[in-house]
Amino acid sequence: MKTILPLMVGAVIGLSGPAQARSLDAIRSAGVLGLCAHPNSLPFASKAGDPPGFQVELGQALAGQLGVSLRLDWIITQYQMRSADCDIVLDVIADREAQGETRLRISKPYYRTGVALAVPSSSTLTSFKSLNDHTKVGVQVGSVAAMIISQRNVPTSTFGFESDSLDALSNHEIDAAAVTPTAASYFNLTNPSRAVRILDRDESEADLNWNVAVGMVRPDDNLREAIDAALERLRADGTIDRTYKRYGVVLQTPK
Amino acid sequence: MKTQWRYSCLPVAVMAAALAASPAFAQAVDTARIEAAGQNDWLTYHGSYKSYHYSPLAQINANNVANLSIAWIHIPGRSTRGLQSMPLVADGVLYYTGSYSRVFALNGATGEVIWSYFPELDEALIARQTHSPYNRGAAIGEGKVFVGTMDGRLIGLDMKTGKVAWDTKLIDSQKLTVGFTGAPLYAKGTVIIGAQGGEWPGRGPIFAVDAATGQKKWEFLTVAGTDEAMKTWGSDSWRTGGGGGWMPGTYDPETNTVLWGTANPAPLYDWSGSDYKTQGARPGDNLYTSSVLGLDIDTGKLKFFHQELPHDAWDFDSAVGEFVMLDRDGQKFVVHPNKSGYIFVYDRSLGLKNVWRITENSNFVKNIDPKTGELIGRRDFKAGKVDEALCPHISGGVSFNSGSYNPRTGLYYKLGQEWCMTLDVMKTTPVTAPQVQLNIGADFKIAPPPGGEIYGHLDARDPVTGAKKWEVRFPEPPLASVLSTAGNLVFVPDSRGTIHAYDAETGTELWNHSDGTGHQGGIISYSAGGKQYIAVTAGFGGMASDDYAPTFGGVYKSMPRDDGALIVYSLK
Repeated sequence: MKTILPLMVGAVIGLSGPAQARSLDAIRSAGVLGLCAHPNSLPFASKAGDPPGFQVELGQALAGQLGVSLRLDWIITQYQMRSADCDIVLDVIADREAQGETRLRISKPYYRTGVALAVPSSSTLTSFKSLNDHTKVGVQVGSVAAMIISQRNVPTSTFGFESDSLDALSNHEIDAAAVTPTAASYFNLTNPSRAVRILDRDESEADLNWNVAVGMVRPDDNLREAIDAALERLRADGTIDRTYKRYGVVLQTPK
Repeated sequence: MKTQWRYSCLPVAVMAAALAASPAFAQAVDTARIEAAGQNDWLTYHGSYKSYHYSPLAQINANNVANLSIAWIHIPGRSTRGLQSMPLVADGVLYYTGSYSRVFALNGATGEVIWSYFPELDEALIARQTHSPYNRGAAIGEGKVFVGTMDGRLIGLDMKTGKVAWDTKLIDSQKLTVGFTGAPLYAKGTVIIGAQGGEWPGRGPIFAVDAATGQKKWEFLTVAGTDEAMKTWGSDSWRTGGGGGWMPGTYDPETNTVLWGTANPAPLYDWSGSDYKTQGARPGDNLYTSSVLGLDIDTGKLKFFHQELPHDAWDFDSAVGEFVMLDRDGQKFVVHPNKSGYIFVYDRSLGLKNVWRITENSNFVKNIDPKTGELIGRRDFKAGKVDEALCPHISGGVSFNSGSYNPRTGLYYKLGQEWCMTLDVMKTTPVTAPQVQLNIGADFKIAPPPGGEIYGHLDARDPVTGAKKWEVRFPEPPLASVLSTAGNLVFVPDSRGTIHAYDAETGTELWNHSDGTGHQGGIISYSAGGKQYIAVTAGFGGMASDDYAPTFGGVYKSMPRDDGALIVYSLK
């Protein structure tokens, strides 16, 4: 489940091109910060722009901190990120191993997330530990969560989309859905009559929890420092929390 | 002008209308006409419902093929990733598709454009699809040309004008990513088309649409399409099982059955190892993926099936290939190649009669029992690097393109591909939000077979027993279709860009000509104005051919992957 921005994994057609990342000086000289984002991934980002998604809003705030404007590069896969010539990607996992294929440099983390359990409001389930061989859990196909939950001999039901899993949950086809708090929170915001209860993440399972940071495409040291400083200011003045909250997401402090 | 005489019994009014609209007297293309497979035409993807990819024309023959030269060329433009289309011909008019589901109707004798149709597509969606934007062909019937699109639609065009008769949305491609690349099949007032799906978490539908109205008639899900099949997907993995049927099948009028091959399950490489029945991403046999299906054409109800590869863990799906229907010694056979390089021989109810192998290098199983179809000594992988290279390569022991059966020689001309791959199976995190992306579940790289070089070969074999009569080798596997003719010829368009003609009895090369770029599409023969033509699509690029430049270098390094042409040959 360690993919937040939809980045493609696997060998596919060669879309990658030469990386032309710029230094902080170059970005300031050009007056523009490039953000790679998925065009159709609310609450993350939306090319339609109504709403624009929290990545677009946060990108604008970061660009403002650097004294430049934001340019959006709409991409689908990590390979396109290299040819899109953008400077940053948001909501990436703050883990070098997880970023092995993307070769992104990462900022200091700005929130913590992972895989949580969503359950019907009337459910007696309280945590991952309360799952048993009578509780069927919706999992994303091929995910780490699917493997971990299956290893505990908990029956699973495989889904391709987090939203399908949440739909099945609200239709009582499954007892719980292992999804990101982001997906579950946005589902509740957009489906208030079918709202689900989101249980706390289980921090004892390292693979189901991670910090989130800004990913930078070959930055120089000045850009890394400037992004870290900008993030710190935006965290301190509540901009980041407010931005995510508009999409129903309550951020947790990174560890 | 033979066409005029053949249809001279038509009512006068019909003939007058047809004469005004086409270079020859035309009669509606219907099921009976496709079944009869008149010698001047090429009315359906596989040439006829018998799937022979054979032309009974003999004007061009082994004695005069040396005089073959280009009659005309059509450049469709915007041929991103080349051309993979199989042209069709009816009454001297050639219909074919290019990338982005563009459709052309051309005068078969001169190449003059009669009409063209460029569908408006969801370009943003097309740009982010991995198996795109190529199109493999159209179907014709009831005065219409039918074409599928990558954004999930089936379109019916007026055969005479190219005007849209209907445009039916069948798949939510925005969500599922996949659409249609394969040609539809027309039979009995119905247009059948299968969705892509093998590596994507859908349920791989096959659709039937009313040819007259465009209304959907039925839909068969190749993943858990029956209650019984649903039990073969552990952990409810049927919800994301992949499947699909991305290449056209055929129609058996004797049993009123559509025969269709289905694609592999998702994720492509499972990591369950030998515990695949109970463990991994999709525990169980995963019916009806990597299978051949017999569906009632009127209802879509499953009549019979054979799963060629239970729990396919290699992407050797059954969607590829022709369904050669031949009669021998009072028995009616169906010969169908599997991507693995094994050729399955069935009766008309898909009861297994034999299995034989066309490739030398194959180790995903030790063998397939020719009597029962059981996979013997199958290799199921755990996560991690696979020690011994897997053969064949993911592009298959045979290509998606078709072989040819020549009823005169009784031989089946089929290309085999000898290549392997290194493999590192990974428990990947699939990308599904907001739109599904290809989920391979492995890193892999093309590799030579153990102790040898990569190569391809054209075999002339007995279609039922697999006994080989002759073989021609190619330094790189050809990826295009094969055509045989009554002129005692076999045509093979190769990957380097040369089209070859061989003596059908001996395999002796009689003629070749460079088309300037690699071939990976269809080849047909037809007659217009009393003259025989050979039409072939040229233009390289796609999931298999993209590997050629890094693997083979040479001419492939400079070969463009954004152009293509329809090249038509006739005698000087």
